[in-house]
Amino acid sequence: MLSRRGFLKSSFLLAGYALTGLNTISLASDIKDTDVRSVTLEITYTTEILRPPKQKGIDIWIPLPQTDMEQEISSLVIDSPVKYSTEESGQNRMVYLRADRFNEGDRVSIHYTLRRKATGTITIPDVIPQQYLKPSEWERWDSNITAFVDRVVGKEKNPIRIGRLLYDAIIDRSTYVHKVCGRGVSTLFFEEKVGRCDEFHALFRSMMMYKGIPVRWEQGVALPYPSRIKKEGEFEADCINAHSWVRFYTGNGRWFPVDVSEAKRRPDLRDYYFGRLVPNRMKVSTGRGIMLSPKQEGIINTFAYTYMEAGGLPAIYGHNYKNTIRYKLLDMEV
Amino acid sequence: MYRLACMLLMVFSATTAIASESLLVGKVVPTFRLPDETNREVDFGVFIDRPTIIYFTENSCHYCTQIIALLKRAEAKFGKDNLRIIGINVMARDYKLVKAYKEELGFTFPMFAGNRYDVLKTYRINYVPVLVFVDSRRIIRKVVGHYMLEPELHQTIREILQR
Repeated sequence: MLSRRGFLKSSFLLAGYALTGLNTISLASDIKDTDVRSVTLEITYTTEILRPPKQKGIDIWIPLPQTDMEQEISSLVIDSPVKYSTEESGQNRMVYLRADRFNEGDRVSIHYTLRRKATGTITIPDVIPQQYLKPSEWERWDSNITAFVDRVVGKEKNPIRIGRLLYDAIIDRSTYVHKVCGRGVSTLFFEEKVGRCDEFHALFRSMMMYKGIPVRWEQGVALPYPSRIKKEGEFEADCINAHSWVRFYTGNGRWFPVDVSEAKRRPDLRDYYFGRLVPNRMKVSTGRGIMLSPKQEGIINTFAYTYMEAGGLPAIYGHNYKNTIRYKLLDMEV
Repeated sequence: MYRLACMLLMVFSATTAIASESLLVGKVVPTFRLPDETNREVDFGVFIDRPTIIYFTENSCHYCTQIIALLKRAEAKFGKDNLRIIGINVMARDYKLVKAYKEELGFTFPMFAGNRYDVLKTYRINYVPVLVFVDSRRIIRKVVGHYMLEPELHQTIREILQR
Protein backbone atom coordinates (compact mmCIF):
# COMPACT_ATOMS: atom_id res chain seq x y z
CA MET A 1 0.00 0.00 0.00
CA LEU A 2 1.19 3.47 -0.83
CA SER A 3 1.37 5.87 2.08
CA ARG A 4 -0.27 9.28 1.66
CA ARG A 5 3.10 11.00 1.82
CA GLY A 6 4.60 8.52 -0.62
CA PHE A 7 1.65 8.87 -2.96
CA LEU A 8 1.95 12.64 -2.97
CA LYS A 9 5.70 12.48 -3.53
CA SER A 10 5.56 10.04 -6.44
CA SER A 11 2.49 11.72 -7.97
CA PHE A 12 4.25 15.07 -7.86
CA LEU A 13 7.33 13.63 -9.52
CA LEU A 14 5.45 11.82 -12.26
CA ALA A 15 3.31 14.92 -12.88
CA GLY A 16 6.55 16.83 -13.18
CA TYR A 17 7.71 14.46 -15.90
CA ALA A 18 4.48 14.85 -17.79
CA LEU A 19 4.62 18.62 -17.62
CA THR A 20 8.23 18.98 -18.65
CA GLY A 21 8.21 16.22 -21.24
CA LEU A 22 11.85 15.48 -20.50
CA ASN A 23 13.11 11.92 -20.52
CA THR A 24 16.32 12.62 -18.69
CA ILE A 25 14.94 13.69 -15.35
CA SER A 26 16.74 11.99 -12.52
CA LEU A 27 15.01 11.29 -9.25
CA ALA A 28 18.36 11.38 -7.47
CA SER A 29 17.63 14.22 -5.12
CA ASP A 30 14.08 13.20 -4.33
CA ILE A 31 13.90 9.47 -3.79
CA LYS A 32 15.68 7.29 -1.28
CA ASP A 33 16.28 3.87 -2.81
CA THR A 34 15.32 2.03 0.34
CA ASP A 35 11.96 3.85 0.53
CA VAL A 36 10.78 2.56 -2.85
CA ARG A 37 8.32 -0.30 -2.55
CA SER A 38 7.98 -1.11 -6.24
CA VAL A 39 8.89 0.07 -9.69
CA THR A 40 6.68 -0.63 -12.72
CA LEU A 41 8.32 -0.54 -16.12
CA GLU A 42 7.19 -1.19 -19.67
CA ILE A 43 10.02 -3.32 -21.07
CA THR A 44 11.02 -4.15 -24.62
CA TYR A 45 13.81 -6.73 -24.77
CA THR A 46 15.26 -7.08 -28.27
CA THR A 47 17.80 -9.47 -29.73
CA GLU A 48 19.11 -8.22 -33.07
CA ILE A 49 21.22 -10.06 -35.60
CA LEU A 50 24.23 -7.88 -36.40
CA ARG A 51 26.14 -10.25 -38.70
CA PRO A 52 24.59 -13.63 -39.49
CA PRO A 53 26.97 -16.37 -38.32
CA LYS A 54 28.83 -18.18 -41.08
CA GLN A 55 27.75 -21.55 -39.74
CA LYS A 56 24.30 -22.76 -40.73
CA GLY A 57 21.69 -23.83 -38.22
CA ILE A 58 21.03 -21.02 -35.74
CA ASP A 59 19.46 -21.68 -32.34
CA ILE A 60 18.39 -18.81 -30.09
CA TRP A 61 17.22 -19.04 -26.48
CA ILE A 62 15.92 -15.89 -24.77
CA PRO A 63 15.19 -15.99 -21.02
CA LEU A 64 11.64 -15.10 -20.05
CA PRO A 65 11.15 -13.47 -16.66
CA GLN A 66 8.38 -15.00 -14.58
CA THR A 67 5.90 -13.80 -12.04
CA ASP A 68 6.85 -14.82 -8.53
CA MET A 69 6.85 -13.30 -5.04
CA GLU A 70 9.36 -10.65 -6.07
CA GLN A 71 7.97 -9.43 -9.37
CA GLU A 72 4.91 -9.46 -11.63
CA ILE A 73 5.10 -9.90 -15.39
CA SER A 74 2.06 -8.98 -17.49
CA SER A 75 1.03 -8.02 -21.04
CA LEU A 76 3.64 -10.32 -22.59
CA VAL A 77 3.87 -10.05 -26.40
CA ILE A 78 6.55 -11.70 -28.56
CA ASP A 79 7.45 -10.43 -32.06
CA SER A 80 9.64 -12.75 -34.10
CA PRO A 81 10.59 -13.01 -37.78
CA VAL A 82 10.48 -16.82 -37.53
CA LYS A 83 8.37 -19.36 -35.73
CA TYR A 84 9.14 -19.64 -32.04
CA SER A 85 8.13 -21.73 -29.06
CA THR A 86 7.97 -21.05 -25.35
CA GLU A 87 9.92 -23.65 -23.40
CA GLU A 88 10.51 -24.61 -19.80
CA SER A 89 13.56 -26.28 -18.29
CA GLY A 90 13.76 -26.75 -14.56
CA GLN A 91 12.65 -23.49 -12.97
CA ASN A 92 13.41 -21.45 -16.06
CA ARG A 93 11.30 -20.32 -19.01
CA MET A 94 12.57 -19.22 -22.37
CA VAL A 95 11.66 -18.35 -25.94
CA TYR A 96 13.31 -20.68 -28.44
CA LEU A 97 13.83 -20.05 -32.15
CA ARG A 98 15.58 -22.10 -34.79
CA ALA A 99 16.33 -21.26 -38.41
CA ASP A 100 18.90 -22.25 -41.00
CA ARG A 101 19.89 -18.63 -41.30
CA PHE A 102 18.87 -15.23 -40.02
CA ASN A 103 19.37 -11.99 -41.91
CA GLU A 104 21.27 -8.95 -40.77
CA GLY A 105 18.88 -6.72 -38.89
CA ASP A 106 16.43 -9.49 -37.96
CA ARG A 107 14.99 -8.76 -34.53
CA VAL A 108 13.15 -10.73 -31.91
CA SER A 109 11.37 -8.45 -29.46
CA ILE A 110 9.65 -9.35 -26.23
CA HIS A 111 7.34 -6.73 -24.73
CA TYR A 112 6.00 -6.91 -21.19
CA THR A 113 5.19 -4.94 -18.11
CA LEU A 114 7.37 -5.59 -15.07
CA ARG A 115 6.38 -4.65 -11.54
CA ARG A 116 9.45 -5.27 -9.45
CA LYS A 117 8.99 -5.09 -5.69
CA ALA A 118 11.39 -4.38 -2.86
CA THR A 119 11.71 -7.76 -1.20
CA GLY A 120 13.00 -9.38 1.91
CA THR A 121 12.75 -12.93 3.21
CA ILE A 122 10.26 -15.00 1.23
CA THR A 123 8.67 -18.34 2.00
CA ILE A 124 8.83 -21.06 -0.63
CA PRO A 125 7.00 -23.99 0.92
CA ASP A 126 7.32 -26.75 -1.71
CA VAL A 127 11.07 -26.66 -2.24
CA ILE A 128 13.53 -29.24 -0.93
CA PRO A 129 16.31 -27.01 0.47
CA GLN A 130 18.96 -29.73 0.15
CA GLN A 131 18.92 -29.41 -3.65
CA TYR A 132 20.58 -26.03 -3.10
CA LEU A 133 23.56 -27.61 -1.41
CA LYS A 134 24.85 -28.82 -4.77
CA PRO A 135 27.65 -26.59 -6.08
CA SER A 136 27.98 -25.75 -9.74
CA GLU A 137 31.30 -26.51 -11.42
CA TRP A 138 32.40 -22.94 -10.65
CA GLU A 139 31.71 -23.12 -6.93
CA ARG A 140 34.33 -25.04 -4.98
CA TRP A 141 35.75 -24.73 -1.52
CA ASP A 142 39.40 -25.63 -1.15
CA SER A 143 41.40 -25.82 2.07
CA ASN A 144 42.14 -22.07 1.96
CA ILE A 145 38.43 -21.25 1.85
CA THR A 146 37.42 -23.74 4.52
CA ALA A 147 40.18 -22.51 6.87
CA PHE A 148 39.01 -18.93 6.30
CA VAL A 149 35.36 -19.82 6.94
CA ASP A 150 36.22 -21.76 10.08
CA ARG A 151 38.19 -18.81 11.41
CA VAL A 152 35.46 -16.25 10.59
CA VAL A 153 32.46 -18.29 11.71
CA GLY A 154 33.94 -20.04 14.73
CA LYS A 155 31.32 -22.02 16.61
CA GLU A 156 28.36 -20.00 15.35
CA LYS A 157 25.42 -22.21 14.30
CA ASN A 158 22.69 -19.71 13.46
CA PRO A 159 22.39 -19.42 9.63
CA ILE A 160 21.64 -15.71 9.67
CA ARG A 161 24.57 -14.89 11.95
CA ILE A 162 26.85 -17.14 9.86
CA GLY A 163 25.59 -15.38 6.74
CA ARG A 164 26.33 -11.95 8.20
CA LEU A 165 29.84 -12.92 9.29
CA LEU A 166 30.70 -14.22 5.83
CA TYR A 167 28.93 -11.31 4.06
CA ASP A 168 31.04 -8.82 6.01
CA ALA A 169 34.23 -10.83 5.58
CA ILE A 170 33.84 -11.01 1.79
CA ILE A 171 33.00 -7.30 1.48
CA ASP A 172 35.95 -6.30 3.64
CA ARG A 173 38.57 -8.34 1.75
CA SER A 174 37.39 -7.82 -1.86
CA THR A 175 37.44 -5.15 -4.55
CA TYR A 176 34.58 -4.64 -6.99
CA VAL A 177 35.38 -4.17 -10.68
CA HIS A 178 32.57 -3.34 -13.08
CA LYS A 179 33.33 -3.41 -16.81
CA VAL A 180 34.36 -7.03 -17.12
CA CYS A 181 32.60 -10.33 -17.76
CA GLY A 182 32.96 -12.51 -14.71
CA ARG A 183 33.31 -16.27 -14.64
CA GLY A 184 32.20 -16.59 -11.03
CA VAL A 185 34.83 -19.07 -9.85
CA SER A 186 34.89 -19.04 -6.06
CA THR A 187 38.44 -20.29 -5.53
CA LEU A 188 39.97 -17.81 -7.96
CA PHE A 189 37.99 -14.93 -6.45
CA PHE A 190 39.09 -15.95 -2.98
CA GLU A 191 42.73 -15.71 -4.09
CA GLU A 192 42.48 -12.71 -6.41
CA LYS A 193 39.96 -10.71 -4.33
CA VAL A 194 38.79 -8.78 -7.40
CA GLY A 195 35.53 -9.39 -9.23
CA ARG A 196 31.94 -8.43 -9.77
CA CYS A 197 28.57 -9.90 -8.77
CA ASP A 198 29.14 -13.47 -9.97
CA GLU A 199 32.47 -13.70 -8.17
CA PHE A 200 31.11 -12.28 -4.90
CA HIS A 201 28.11 -14.60 -4.92
CA ALA A 202 29.99 -17.70 -6.06
CA LEU A 203 32.25 -17.28 -3.05
CA PHE A 204 29.41 -16.51 -0.63
CA ARG A 205 27.45 -19.51 -1.91
CA SER A 206 30.49 -21.80 -1.65
CA MET A 207 31.22 -20.69 1.91
CA MET A 208 27.61 -21.11 3.03
CA MET A 209 27.30 -24.53 1.38
CA TYR A 210 30.49 -25.60 3.14
CA LYS A 211 28.67 -24.75 6.39
CA GLY A 212 25.71 -26.85 5.21
CA ILE A 213 23.41 -23.91 4.47
CA PRO A 214 21.46 -24.18 1.17
CA VAL A 215 21.78 -21.17 -1.16
CA ARG A 216 19.70 -20.33 -4.25
CA TRP A 217 21.36 -18.45 -7.12
CA GLU A 218 19.07 -15.81 -8.60
CA GLN A 219 20.07 -14.43 -11.97
CA GLY A 220 18.82 -11.24 -13.46
CA VAL A 221 19.55 -7.97 -15.14
CA ALA A 222 20.47 -4.81 -13.29
CA LEU A 223 18.01 -1.93 -13.67
CA PRO A 224 18.83 1.65 -12.70
CA TYR A 225 18.41 2.46 -9.02
CA PRO A 226 15.06 4.15 -8.32
CA SER A 227 16.94 7.30 -7.32
CA ARG A 228 18.62 7.43 -10.71
CA ILE A 229 16.06 5.96 -13.05
CA LYS A 230 14.87 8.10 -15.94
CA LYS A 231 11.45 8.31 -17.51
CA GLU A 232 12.80 6.25 -20.40
CA GLY A 233 16.08 4.48 -20.93
CA GLU A 234 17.98 1.87 -22.88
CA PHE A 235 20.90 -0.40 -22.12
CA GLU A 236 22.45 -3.63 -23.34
CA ALA A 237 21.43 -6.94 -21.85
CA ASP A 238 24.89 -8.45 -21.77
CA CYS A 239 27.44 -9.73 -19.29
CA ILE A 240 28.21 -6.20 -18.10
CA ASN A 241 24.60 -5.48 -17.12
CA ALA A 242 23.76 -8.99 -15.94
CA HIS A 243 23.35 -9.15 -12.19
CA SER A 244 23.16 -12.00 -9.69
CA TRP A 245 22.23 -12.24 -6.03
CA VAL A 246 21.48 -15.16 -3.70
CA ARG A 247 19.03 -16.34 -1.06
CA PHE A 248 20.02 -18.67 1.73
CA TYR A 249 17.81 -20.98 3.73
CA THR A 250 17.00 -20.08 7.32
CA GLY A 251 14.49 -22.86 8.07
CA ASN A 252 10.72 -23.37 7.83
CA GLY A 253 10.63 -22.66 4.09
CA ARG A 254 12.16 -19.20 4.49
CA TRP A 255 14.81 -17.83 2.10
CA PHE A 256 16.85 -14.79 3.14
CA PRO A 257 18.23 -12.51 0.37
CA VAL A 258 21.70 -10.97 0.20
CA ASP A 259 23.38 -8.90 -2.46
CA VAL A 260 27.03 -8.92 -1.45
CA SER A 261 28.42 -7.12 -4.49
CA GLU A 262 25.90 -4.27 -4.35
CA ALA A 263 26.65 -3.90 -0.66
CA LYS A 264 30.28 -3.47 -1.67
CA ARG A 265 29.38 -0.88 -4.30
CA ARG A 266 26.93 0.96 -2.06
CA PRO A 267 28.38 1.13 1.47
CA ASP A 268 25.33 3.16 2.51
CA LEU A 269 23.20 0.06 1.79
CA ARG A 270 25.47 -2.48 3.46
CA ASP A 271 23.02 -3.28 6.23
CA TYR A 272 20.03 -3.07 3.89
CA TYR A 273 21.39 -5.60 1.40
CA PHE A 274 21.70 -8.18 4.13
CA GLY A 275 18.07 -9.27 4.08
CA ARG A 276 16.47 -6.82 1.61
CA LEU A 277 16.69 -6.11 -2.11
CA VAL A 278 16.09 -2.76 -3.81
CA PRO A 279 13.81 -3.04 -6.89
CA ASN A 280 16.70 -2.18 -9.21
CA ARG A 281 16.74 -5.60 -10.85
CA MET A 282 14.68 -8.05 -12.84
CA LYS A 283 15.00 -11.76 -12.18
CA VAL A 284 15.16 -13.85 -15.35
CA SER A 285 16.44 -17.27 -14.27
CA THR A 286 17.52 -19.40 -11.33
CA GLY A 287 20.70 -21.40 -10.89
CA ARG A 288 24.02 -21.91 -12.68
CA GLY A 289 25.22 -24.51 -15.14
CA ILE A 290 21.93 -24.11 -17.00
CA MET A 291 20.38 -26.72 -19.25
CA LEU A 292 18.09 -25.08 -21.80
CA SER A 293 15.16 -26.54 -23.70
CA PRO A 294 15.81 -27.92 -26.21
CA LYS A 295 19.23 -28.74 -24.83
CA GLN A 296 22.07 -26.54 -26.01
CA GLU A 297 25.50 -27.83 -27.08
CA GLY A 298 27.60 -25.33 -25.15
CA ILE A 299 28.02 -24.83 -21.40
CA ILE A 300 26.01 -21.99 -19.91
CA ASN A 301 27.40 -20.54 -16.71
CA THR A 302 24.39 -18.29 -16.06
CA PHE A 303 21.32 -17.45 -18.16
CA ALA A 304 20.85 -13.70 -17.89
CA TYR A 305 20.37 -12.79 -21.54
CA THR A 306 20.02 -14.33 -24.99
CA TYR A 307 22.19 -17.32 -25.79
CA MET A 308 22.79 -18.13 -29.45
CA GLU A 309 24.47 -21.08 -31.13
CA ALA A 310 25.51 -21.41 -34.76
CA GLY A 311 26.17 -24.92 -35.94
CA GLY A 312 26.11 -26.05 -32.32
CA LEU A 313 28.75 -23.53 -31.19
CA PRO A 314 28.22 -20.35 -29.16
CA ALA A 315 27.86 -17.28 -31.40
CA ILE A 316 29.83 -14.13 -30.62
CA TYR A 317 28.09 -11.39 -28.67
CA GLY A 318 28.62 -7.93 -30.13
CA HIS A 319 29.62 -9.43 -33.47
CA ASN A 320 26.82 -11.81 -34.45
CA TYR A 321 24.09 -10.40 -32.22
CA LYS A 322 23.25 -7.85 -29.59
CA ASN A 323 20.55 -7.52 -26.92
CA THR A 324 18.92 -4.29 -25.88
CA ILE A 325 16.49 -3.47 -23.10
CA ARG A 326 14.34 -0.37 -23.51
CA TYR A 327 12.20 0.71 -20.59
CA LYS A 328 9.55 3.27 -19.78
CA LEU A 329 8.87 4.13 -16.18
CA LEU A 330 5.15 3.68 -15.57
CA ASP A 331 4.96 3.89 -11.81
CA MET A 332 7.02 4.07 -8.68
CA GLU A 333 5.46 3.17 -5.36
CA VAL A 334 7.09 4.86 -2.39
CA MET B 1 33.37 15.82 -23.87
CA TYR B 2 36.39 16.84 -21.76
CA ARG B 3 34.55 15.80 -18.59
CA LEU B 4 33.66 12.45 -20.16
CA ALA B 5 37.29 11.89 -21.14
CA CYS B 6 38.42 12.73 -17.59
CA MET B 7 35.86 10.34 -16.12
CA LEU B 8 36.95 7.54 -18.48
CA LEU B 9 40.56 8.20 -17.59
CA MET B 10 39.72 7.99 -13.87
CA VAL B 11 37.85 4.70 -14.36
CA PHE B 12 40.62 3.15 -16.40
CA SER B 13 43.29 4.45 -14.04
CA ALA B 14 41.50 2.81 -11.12
CA THR B 15 41.20 -0.53 -12.85
CA THR B 16 44.75 -0.32 -14.17
CA ALA B 17 45.90 0.06 -10.61
CA ILE B 18 44.18 -3.20 -9.78
CA ALA B 19 45.58 -4.93 -12.84
CA SER B 20 49.16 -3.80 -12.35
CA GLU B 21 49.17 -5.33 -8.88
CA SER B 22 48.96 -8.78 -10.51
CA LEU B 23 51.26 -11.28 -8.86
CA LEU B 24 52.32 -12.41 -12.34
CA VAL B 25 54.19 -9.20 -13.14
CA GLY B 26 57.95 -9.73 -13.16
CA LYS B 27 57.68 -13.50 -13.54
CA VAL B 28 58.61 -15.72 -16.46
CA VAL B 29 55.53 -16.35 -18.57
CA PRO B 30 53.94 -19.75 -17.81
CA THR B 31 52.95 -21.81 -20.83
CA PHE B 32 50.70 -24.78 -21.49
CA ARG B 33 49.97 -27.32 -24.19
CA LEU B 34 46.51 -26.46 -25.51
CA PRO B 35 44.45 -27.36 -28.59
CA ASP B 36 44.66 -24.89 -31.48
CA GLU B 37 42.01 -24.46 -34.16
CA THR B 38 43.29 -27.51 -36.08
CA ASN B 39 42.98 -29.72 -32.97
CA ARG B 40 46.75 -29.97 -32.51
CA GLU B 41 48.00 -29.80 -28.93
CA VAL B 42 50.65 -27.08 -29.00
CA ASP B 43 52.74 -25.51 -26.25
CA PHE B 44 51.89 -21.87 -26.87
CA GLY B 45 55.28 -20.99 -25.41
CA VAL B 46 56.85 -21.77 -28.79
CA PHE B 47 55.20 -18.60 -30.12
CA ILE B 48 56.66 -16.38 -27.40
CA ASP B 49 59.86 -15.63 -29.34
CA ARG B 50 59.34 -11.85 -29.41
CA PRO B 51 57.35 -9.30 -27.39
CA THR B 52 53.94 -10.86 -27.00
CA ILE B 53 50.39 -10.12 -25.89
CA ILE B 54 48.51 -13.10 -24.50
CA TYR B 55 44.84 -12.22 -24.77
CA PHE B 56 42.21 -14.04 -22.69
CA THR B 57 38.74 -13.67 -24.16
CA GLU B 58 35.41 -15.45 -24.64
CA ASN B 59 32.32 -15.34 -26.86
CA SER B 60 29.76 -13.56 -24.67
CA CYS B 61 31.84 -10.47 -23.90
CA HIS B 62 31.26 -7.40 -26.07
CA TYR B 63 34.38 -5.58 -24.86
CA CYS B 64 36.41 -8.69 -25.68
CA THR B 65 35.11 -8.70 -29.24
CA GLN B 66 36.06 -5.04 -29.59
CA ILE B 67 39.58 -5.73 -28.32
CA ILE B 68 40.09 -8.30 -31.09
CA ALA B 69 39.69 -5.44 -33.57
CA LEU B 70 42.25 -3.38 -31.64
CA LEU B 71 44.70 -6.29 -31.63
CA LYS B 72 44.31 -6.83 -35.37
CA ARG B 73 45.14 -3.16 -35.93
CA ALA B 74 48.06 -3.29 -33.48
CA GLU B 75 49.49 -6.33 -35.26
CA ALA B 76 49.34 -4.44 -38.57
CA LYS B 77 50.79 -1.25 -37.07
CA PHE B 78 53.73 -2.73 -35.17
CA GLY B 79 54.38 -5.66 -37.54
CA LYS B 80 54.14 -9.40 -37.01
CA ASP B 81 57.94 -9.65 -36.84
CA ASN B 82 58.02 -7.31 -33.85
CA LEU B 83 54.88 -8.21 -31.95
CA ARG B 84 53.26 -11.59 -31.34
CA ILE B 85 49.64 -11.91 -30.36
CA ILE B 86 48.26 -15.12 -28.85
CA GLY B 87 44.59 -15.59 -28.08
CA ILE B 88 43.20 -17.89 -25.38
CA ASN B 89 39.45 -18.49 -25.53
CA VAL B 90 38.43 -19.32 -21.96
CA MET B 91 35.03 -20.59 -23.11
CA ALA B 92 36.53 -23.14 -25.52
CA ARG B 93 37.12 -26.70 -24.37
CA ASP B 94 38.15 -27.93 -27.81
CA TYR B 95 39.30 -26.71 -31.19
CA LYS B 96 35.87 -26.27 -32.77
CA LEU B 97 34.94 -23.08 -30.94
CA VAL B 98 38.41 -21.62 -31.55
CA LYS B 99 38.14 -22.36 -35.27
CA ALA B 100 34.68 -20.79 -35.53
CA TYR B 101 35.75 -17.76 -33.44
CA LYS B 102 38.75 -17.09 -35.69
CA GLU B 103 36.69 -17.49 -38.86
CA GLU B 104 33.96 -15.16 -37.61
CA LEU B 105 36.30 -12.40 -36.49
CA GLY B 106 38.80 -12.86 -39.30
CA PHE B 107 42.14 -12.77 -37.55
CA THR B 108 45.22 -14.88 -38.23
CA PHE B 109 47.15 -14.86 -34.95
CA PRO B 110 47.17 -18.16 -33.05
CA MET B 111 44.37 -18.93 -30.64
CA PHE B 112 43.94 -21.83 -28.22
CA ALA B 113 41.13 -23.50 -26.32
CA GLY B 114 41.77 -22.36 -22.76
CA ASN B 115 38.83 -23.48 -20.66
CA ARG B 116 41.07 -25.46 -18.34
CA TYR B 117 41.30 -24.89 -14.60
CA ASP B 118 45.10 -25.11 -14.37
CA VAL B 119 45.52 -22.47 -17.08
CA LEU B 120 42.94 -20.13 -15.59
CA LYS B 121 44.27 -20.60 -12.07
CA THR B 122 47.86 -19.97 -13.13
CA TYR B 123 46.93 -16.80 -15.00
CA ARG B 124 44.34 -15.88 -12.32
CA ILE B 125 41.60 -15.41 -14.89
CA ASN B 126 38.28 -14.93 -13.12
CA TYR B 127 36.92 -12.51 -15.67
CA VAL B 128 37.66 -11.29 -19.16
CA PRO B 129 39.05 -9.39 -21.00
CA VAL B 130 42.59 -9.85 -19.67
CA LEU B 131 45.71 -8.87 -21.62
CA VAL B 132 49.12 -10.14 -20.50
CA PHE B 133 52.07 -8.18 -21.88
CA VAL B 134 55.30 -10.16 -22.17
CA ASP B 135 58.69 -8.74 -23.15
CA SER B 136 61.34 -10.29 -25.42
CA ARG B 137 62.94 -12.03 -22.41
CA ARG B 138 59.61 -13.79 -21.70
CA ILE B 139 59.02 -11.72 -18.57
CA ILE B 140 55.47 -10.55 -17.84
CA ARG B 141 55.56 -6.75 -17.67
CA LYS B 142 51.91 -5.84 -17.28
CA VAL B 143 48.52 -7.47 -16.84
CA VAL B 144 45.46 -5.44 -17.80
CA GLY B 145 42.06 -6.75 -16.73
CA HIS B 146 39.66 -4.42 -18.52
CA TYR B 147 38.87 -2.84 -21.87
CA MET B 148 41.77 -0.78 -23.20
CA LEU B 149 41.56 2.34 -25.27
CA GLU B 150 43.76 2.13 -28.36
CA PRO B 151 46.33 4.80 -27.26
CA GLU B 152 46.84 2.95 -23.95
CA LEU B 153 47.24 -0.36 -25.79
CA HIS B 154 49.80 1.13 -28.18
CA GLN B 155 51.72 2.77 -25.32
CA THR B 156 51.93 -0.55 -23.48
CA ILE B 157 53.08 -2.32 -26.64
CA ARG B 158 55.83 0.27 -27.07
CA GLU B 159 56.94 -0.42 -23.50
CA ILE B 160 57.40 -4.15 -24.12
CA LEU B 161 59.05 -3.53 -27.50
CA GLN B 162 61.67 -1.31 -25.84
CA ARG B 163 62.71 -3.88 -23.24
